[in-house]
Amino acid sequence: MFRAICIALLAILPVVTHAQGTQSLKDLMDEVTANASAEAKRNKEREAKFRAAAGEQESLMASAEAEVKKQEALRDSLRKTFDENETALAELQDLLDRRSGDLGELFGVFRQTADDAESIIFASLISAEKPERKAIVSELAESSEIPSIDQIRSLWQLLIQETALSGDLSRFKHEVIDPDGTTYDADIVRVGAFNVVTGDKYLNYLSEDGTLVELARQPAGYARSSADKLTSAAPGAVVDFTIDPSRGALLGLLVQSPSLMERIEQGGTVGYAIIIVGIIGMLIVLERMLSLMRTRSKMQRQLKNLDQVEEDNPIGRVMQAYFEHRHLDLETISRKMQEVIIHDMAGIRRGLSIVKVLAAVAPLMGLLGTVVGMIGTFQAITLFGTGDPKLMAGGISQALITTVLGLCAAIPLLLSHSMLAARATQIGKMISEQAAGLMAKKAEADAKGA
Amino acid sequence: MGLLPMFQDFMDKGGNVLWAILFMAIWLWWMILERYWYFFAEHKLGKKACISTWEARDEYTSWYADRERAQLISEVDCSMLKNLKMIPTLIALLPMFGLLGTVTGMIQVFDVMAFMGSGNPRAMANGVSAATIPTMAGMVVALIAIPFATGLDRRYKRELRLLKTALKQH
Repeated sequence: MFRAICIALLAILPVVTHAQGTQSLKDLMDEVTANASAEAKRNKEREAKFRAAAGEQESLMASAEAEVKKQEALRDSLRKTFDENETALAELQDLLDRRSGDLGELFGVFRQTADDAESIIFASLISAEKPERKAIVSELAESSEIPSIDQIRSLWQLLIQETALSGDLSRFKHEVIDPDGTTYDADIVRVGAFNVVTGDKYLNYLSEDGTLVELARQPAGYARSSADKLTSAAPGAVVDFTIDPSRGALLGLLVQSPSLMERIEQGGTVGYAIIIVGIIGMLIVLERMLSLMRTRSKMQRQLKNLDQVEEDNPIGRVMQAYFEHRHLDLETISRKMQEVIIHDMAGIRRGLSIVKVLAAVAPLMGLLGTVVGMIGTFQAITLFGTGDPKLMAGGISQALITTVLGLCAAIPLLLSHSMLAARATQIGKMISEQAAGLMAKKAEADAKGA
Repeated sequence: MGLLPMFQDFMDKGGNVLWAILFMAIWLWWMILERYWYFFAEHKLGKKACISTWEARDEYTSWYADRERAQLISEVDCSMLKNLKMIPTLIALLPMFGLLGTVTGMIQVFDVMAFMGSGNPRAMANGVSAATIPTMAGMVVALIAIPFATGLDRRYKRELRLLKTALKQH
């Protein structure tokens, strides 16, 4: 009530201020009285309205309570149904277990086998030829329901098909990706589940997207030629073929194994130095071989024709020395001939010692490379420990490759040094002893004739 | 197992270097046998011819005679020396080939280790046999040949001495 009056006063205030200057106090009092009675009447009306609303709330409350009762009854009936269903379900499960018996185990085995079969068939080369099998097997492996007899049948049919096809040879057309990334259609020959080849190239099967890829590095020549023979063989012909029994795994590793050039690169600076030493040595050997051969053939020509002196060979020069000094005494002739022989021998033996030195240096450099590689290995061990052998592989390859290179350079150098030395000795004996003997014989004959 | 399959198996285990060793061994033994054949048959004929040429001379003391004697000896010497120095060289090279085989075998072993780690000794066995067999083969061939090589060398020196005494300087 107080609030109502306050509101009324607030409503009146502007009227009062307005009236201050223009109307009398009596007018104001009449107005206040009239307003108060109007206010009282309005309040009464509101009170009656509130009373009526209170009655309405009570009836709403009653209807809500009735609703709660109804719902509780429904809940009880549903719970009952649920309990009944629970029992029924247990009974049915029991019935199912009883009726299916050992079949439960069968379905377990089916699922396991379907999973195994999925991985086998996805990785199998045969799927390159028959890609539709992948969809069938993955449907079998992924289904969570109890398999039907048809599904069981299709699983064993797939497995038998895989077994049967892994033993035969078939030709089909398929897209092939070469190492550059370009695609072309090719006639493929599939050898069981082991290898796929086209022409003389072995292919790799990528099971993720079912593509056939040419191996970036093909196996050695004889394996490739056997593939070529197989591709071009007439039906019914028997050909030898090199097979990869690991179904492509070994061929895959082939790409990783380094080629000859990569091996040489592993040798590093020391490796290249050894190669240079070897090449220099072999060049010297070649030059010496040719020069000795030329000298020898000239000497043979001279020996056949002793009457005419030719100055382009050691024997000729020995003869020249004799003829120039034949009027002198034997002692002087001997000495003059000796002089010529010593001079020529120096020319013949030239380069031999350097070949021998290079042949001795090459294995030593190999040893140097070994030690350098070992230092690299131990550095890797210091940094990373011995846990990963692959980290040490670089140093070890260098160590081994340089040894190989050193030996490969030393062996031919030693062999050719021995050959050169033997030949030089022979030529030396020819000019120092045999030529002098021939000269003596000729001079003796001349002396007798004279 | 027959002899040929056994041989093939052995060669397969030893790797490529073993073929080089086989080739060197054949070469070495061919030379040894050739030298023995020479000393056994040809040398006697050459020596006889040499001595008879010397005997046919009417005097043995002049400078001319001295030169001719040197020539005769040198000719026989040359044919005795032929291939003789090659034998010790080949004997020295055989262990080097063995070492080469060892190192290439080790490379195989480390290749396998790089692919499969060190946990699979069976996979490494192939490389290990490729490492050891050539060394053994090279050693065996070289060791067997050494007595023959020294024997031939001694024989050469003895024959030279005999020849020098046979060509008497009166």
